[in-house]
Amino acid sequence: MNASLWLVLAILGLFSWGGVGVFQKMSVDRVGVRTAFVWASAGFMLLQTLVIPSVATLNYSPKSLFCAALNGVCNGLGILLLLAAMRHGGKASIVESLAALYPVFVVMLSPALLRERLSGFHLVGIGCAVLACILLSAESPASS
Amino acid sequence: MGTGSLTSQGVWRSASSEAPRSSDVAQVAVPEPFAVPLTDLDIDADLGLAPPSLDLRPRAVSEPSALPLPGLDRHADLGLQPPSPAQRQTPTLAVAVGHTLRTKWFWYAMASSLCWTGWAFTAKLGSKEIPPAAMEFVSAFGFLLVSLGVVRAKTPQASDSRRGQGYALVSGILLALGGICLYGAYRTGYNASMITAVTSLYPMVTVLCAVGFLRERLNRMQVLGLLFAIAAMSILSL
Repeated sequence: MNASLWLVLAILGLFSWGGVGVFQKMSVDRVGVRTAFVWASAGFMLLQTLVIPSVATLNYSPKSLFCAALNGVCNGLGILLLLAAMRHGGKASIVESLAALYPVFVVMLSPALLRERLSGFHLVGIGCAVLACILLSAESPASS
Repeated sequence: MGTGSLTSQGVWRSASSEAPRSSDVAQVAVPEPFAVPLTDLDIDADLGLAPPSLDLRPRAVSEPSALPLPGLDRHADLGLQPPSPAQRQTPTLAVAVGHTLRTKWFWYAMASSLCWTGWAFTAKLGSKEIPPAAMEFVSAFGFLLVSLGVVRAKTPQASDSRRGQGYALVSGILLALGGICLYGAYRTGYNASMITAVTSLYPMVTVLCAVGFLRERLNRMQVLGLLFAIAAMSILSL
C-alpha cells in the first residue's frame, strides 16, 4: 500500500507545484504582483487547516520555532519575487526553472553554514546547474 | 475539384468566372471557390509546417546575414575575416545572455532562488526538532506575516481583474497542496531522497503547461538548458 501511496502523493505534489507557475503567470498578466500575492496567500492559508499538528507547537524550542517561522517568511518572499519576475516579462517556464535551481546555492553554502562536505557528485550537479542557468538565460531580445 | 487559374496579378480565378487570356495564365486544378489573392495564402499552414520566423530587426554591419545569398561574401566585401563556426555561435549566446542580464525579471528570479535557499536552510534546521506537519503549520505563520506586510503596503485597485485574482487563489491552493502531498509522501516512510527527486522535477510540468496553455516558446538553447536543469535538480536532490 505504502509503496504506491508515496508515488501517488509525490506525483500529485509534482503536478500541483508544476501548475503553480502557470496560474501565477496567468494571474500577474491580469493583476499586480501584490494583489496576486495576497490572493495566493489566501489560497495557501485555506489548506493549512489540513495540517494542524496533533501536538501543541509551543512544545518545541524557541530556536526551532523561529526557524520554522523564518522558513515561511523565506517561502513568502520567494513567491513574491517569483510573481514580480513574471510580471516584468519573465516566461513562466524560464522563471520557474531558474528559481528551482536554488539547491545549487544550498549545496554551495552548506560547507560554510552547516559544516557539510561537498562530494564530486555535488560538483557535477553544480556544473549542470550553472550551465542550465546560462542556457536558460539565453532569451532572444525579440521574445522577452 | 474545380479548375482555376493564376492571373498575372497573382489572383486565383475559378473556371466559371471571366475567362482569362491564355498567354498570362497557367491552368491548374484547384478546389472551389476562388478569387483569393496569393498574399492571403498560408502555404506553411497548408503543408502542416510551422511558419518561418523572420527577424526584421536592423543588423549591425559586421553581423553576418542569417540567410546568406549564394555567391556573395559580405565579409570579404567589407574587408573582414569570415567568422569561424565557433565565433558564429558564441556571440549569439553571449548577446542573448547579456540581454537577459539587463532585464529585471532575471534578477527577480535569482532573488527568488536565494529566498528559497534560505527556505531550504531553515527547513533543515527547524525540522531537526519539529516534525513535518508542525513545521508546515508554523511556517504558514511566517508566510502570513509577509502577506500582512504586502496587504499593508498595497493600495486597493478597483481595476483588478476577478479572473486574475482567481488564478492567484488557485496558485496558492496548489502551492499548499503540493507541500501537503510532499509531507504525506514523507510520512509513508519511503526513501526521502527518491520522493524529493521526483517532486523537484516540478518545473518540467510548468514548462509543459506553459508551452501547451500559455503558448510560450523556447529556443534551442533554452531547451538544452532545461535538460541540464533536470540533471542538476536530480543530482542535487539525491
